[in-house]
Amino acid sequence: MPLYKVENLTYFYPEAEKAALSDISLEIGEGEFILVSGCSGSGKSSLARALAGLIPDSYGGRIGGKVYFQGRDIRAMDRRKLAREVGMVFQDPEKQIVQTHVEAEIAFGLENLGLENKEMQRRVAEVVCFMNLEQIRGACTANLSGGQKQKLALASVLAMQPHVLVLDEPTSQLDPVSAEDILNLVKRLNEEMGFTVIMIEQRLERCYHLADRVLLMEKGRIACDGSARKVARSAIKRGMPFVPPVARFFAGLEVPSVPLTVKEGRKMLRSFIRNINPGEERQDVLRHGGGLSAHAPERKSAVRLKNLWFTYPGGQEVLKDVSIDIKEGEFVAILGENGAGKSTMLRQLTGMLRPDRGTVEVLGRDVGRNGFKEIRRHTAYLSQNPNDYLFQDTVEDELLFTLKNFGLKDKSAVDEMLERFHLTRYRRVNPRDLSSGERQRVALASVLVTAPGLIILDEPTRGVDFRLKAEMGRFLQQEAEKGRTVIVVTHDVEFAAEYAARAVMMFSGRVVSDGGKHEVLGKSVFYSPQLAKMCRGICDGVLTFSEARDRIYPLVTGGAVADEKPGVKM
Amino acid sequence: MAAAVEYIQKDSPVHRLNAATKIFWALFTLACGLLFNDYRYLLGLLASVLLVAAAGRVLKNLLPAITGLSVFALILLLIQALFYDQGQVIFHLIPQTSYLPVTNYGILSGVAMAARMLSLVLSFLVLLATTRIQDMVLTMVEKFKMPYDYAFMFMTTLRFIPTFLGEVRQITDAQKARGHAVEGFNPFKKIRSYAPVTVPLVLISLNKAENMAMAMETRGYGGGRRTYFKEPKMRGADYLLTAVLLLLLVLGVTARVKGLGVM
Repeated sequence: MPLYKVENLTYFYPEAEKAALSDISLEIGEGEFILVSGCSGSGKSSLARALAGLIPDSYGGRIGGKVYFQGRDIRAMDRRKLAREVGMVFQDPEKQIVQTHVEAEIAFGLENLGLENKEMQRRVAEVVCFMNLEQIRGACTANLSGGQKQKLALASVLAMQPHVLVLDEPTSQLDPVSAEDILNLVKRLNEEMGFTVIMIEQRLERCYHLADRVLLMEKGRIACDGSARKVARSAIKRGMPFVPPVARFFAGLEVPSVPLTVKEGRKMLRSFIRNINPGEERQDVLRHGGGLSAHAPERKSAVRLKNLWFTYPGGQEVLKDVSIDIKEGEFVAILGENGAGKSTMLRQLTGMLRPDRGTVEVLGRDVGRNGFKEIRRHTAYLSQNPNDYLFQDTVEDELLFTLKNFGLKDKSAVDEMLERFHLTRYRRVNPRDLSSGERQRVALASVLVTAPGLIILDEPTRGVDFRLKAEMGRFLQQEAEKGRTVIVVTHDVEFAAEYAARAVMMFSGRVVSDGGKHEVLGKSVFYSPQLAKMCRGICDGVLTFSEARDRIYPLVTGGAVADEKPGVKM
Repeated sequence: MAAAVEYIQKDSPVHRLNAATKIFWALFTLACGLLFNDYRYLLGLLASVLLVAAAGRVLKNLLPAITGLSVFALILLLIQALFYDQGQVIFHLIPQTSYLPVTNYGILSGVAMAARMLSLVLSFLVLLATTRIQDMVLTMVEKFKMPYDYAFMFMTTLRFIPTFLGEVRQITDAQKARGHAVEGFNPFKKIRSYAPVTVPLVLISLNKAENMAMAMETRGYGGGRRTYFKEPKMRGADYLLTAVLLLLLVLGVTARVKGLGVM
């Protein structure tokens, strides 16, 4: 008997016209590791909620079809019994932590189940040990970092000893190192402890290979279902972007099988170009590095931070001697762990905070001395959550509000921005009725309507699917080409590598690396995109998809190179 | 003063006591403070409260609060001394006249009032400084049979205060960057100009609450018997102290009925 059996599941959220899930039939066996991917609004999260038994009881709406768990209708099951079987970890740890202290949080579920105190003590101790939480055992949940919070959320679910783990984009808010940490744990749980794992994820580069089986969703239906390799192949054939970069790269070459991991990719790449001349290669790298900085010096500074120190009242030193000089027209990505001081630095740039020591100059003015309003008129700042902005009744009003704040009379920019962000048909629609991707575009349009010279974005790719991400990346590149300065704080290494020109890495309040993206991201172990990891040492200086294509495809022209090579078959 | 009201994490005999015992002690102090009005009894009560604070090693932390309260105590004493005209006149506030006489009873009853106010307020501050709010709430559930749902609501509120403040900051930043400013002195205008912060805040909080409810459901919250991870256990010292306090209370009431401790 399969663990889950889903029969013709169709689901409409309350007041929705389109089905979130339509006619899904699916079987899930015990111990499987299933990855669910697809664009925003494709029904991934709804499927996860259905499997956790949350739909439709917690939401309302109309449902058709059935979900059976261990042969029983999930809707008829007792909530507590189900909680013992199926654990769910959500995207935002902030929205699932209930208690003020770490231990109390882990125990919360156990208390609800009514376990004996002795059993509770044992389980909490065990989970704390397994998850390596000893050091924060007595800490306040409010003081934890994002990574620790997500780990705690996972720990609290594990303490209940479920057999199934449903994870809804568990790493979308985490830096690459913390994300790796969580994913490794999940992998161990699946492999060593036999958990059935159902994970939803958009950033495939770090989890695709972990899954036994991949489901690609499209418009509420399952478009592809099969082993990771099989789905990769058929997704490539159909031109769907939901494959890891390594697989996408090799899809353009005639190869007998699609590699999914960096390891497999390197092996295959070596077999193609092992006879490349190393001397020639080095020259290539030099030329590449030189080309980037050649035209930079003559430009004016858009942002100049000099020996910036900052401590929050309360004691923590967040910025330590930070100096960065960003020229007009540059596209800079700032990366680093959660809590490295990136957001604090942005708050300095937008004049929300003043430095303790050092100077902050934005567009030639000292932020500390001048009125912020003048600087803000030329600066667009988009925070992590587009919902921070939206409060008007129509999309148009959101844009007009910004114009009014700055006393700008010319309303023609509104039409232009709406057109640009494909929002014209939503002009009179309430922003709250739009999808999350559309809401983000409204927020962006509302900060860009003043035609600012400096664009600052905090985590703009969080929870944004592949297609919208590419759209945003290209848009920002165009803005930079027009001479505007773009600064993006992000955990998304692939995004930074693909679209930015320069990268800055921060760790515990200091800038540890700053330069052209090839220089910074090419050298990093964790903060480097998958293709760079694949090409390192074989064909240095490759960071983006197009670079890999331009440099490596010619070397393997005709595809005749590798067909029968030993060691490539998988 | 606000600083003294929060829990101060320390290891002391008072911290180790059960929350119920400490709540009972605070109520006992309240009862005694109201029973008697003899300044000697009340000064004794104040001394006992300070002793407990010292045993809990929070005296130093409470010092700012004590200083602040002392000012009030002085004012109380002054008022009492001025408006109490029984007893022997010691001196007049305006010398060489018969205006504003200050009597010996006036001073003593002022001292009594001040000591009463100080012991009542301080006993609750000591309670708050040595007991985690969570423990207090749990005690309410366990010992005083408050429904867990209310207790949980209260604790979730505590949990969300930092999150909420962070959210306010983030939204304020976002709107400020968009050129929004809370403007003018006209109160109506001012209220309206808060809308760009309050509307997103409410919407975001609602969304959070919804997600939270779901997360709680997957963790088995709601309905059925519940157990507690930190069962506040009554230990020997707790039973002993409760018994002693109870005995003292009975003695106190008897004394009061017999007319002792009253001026």
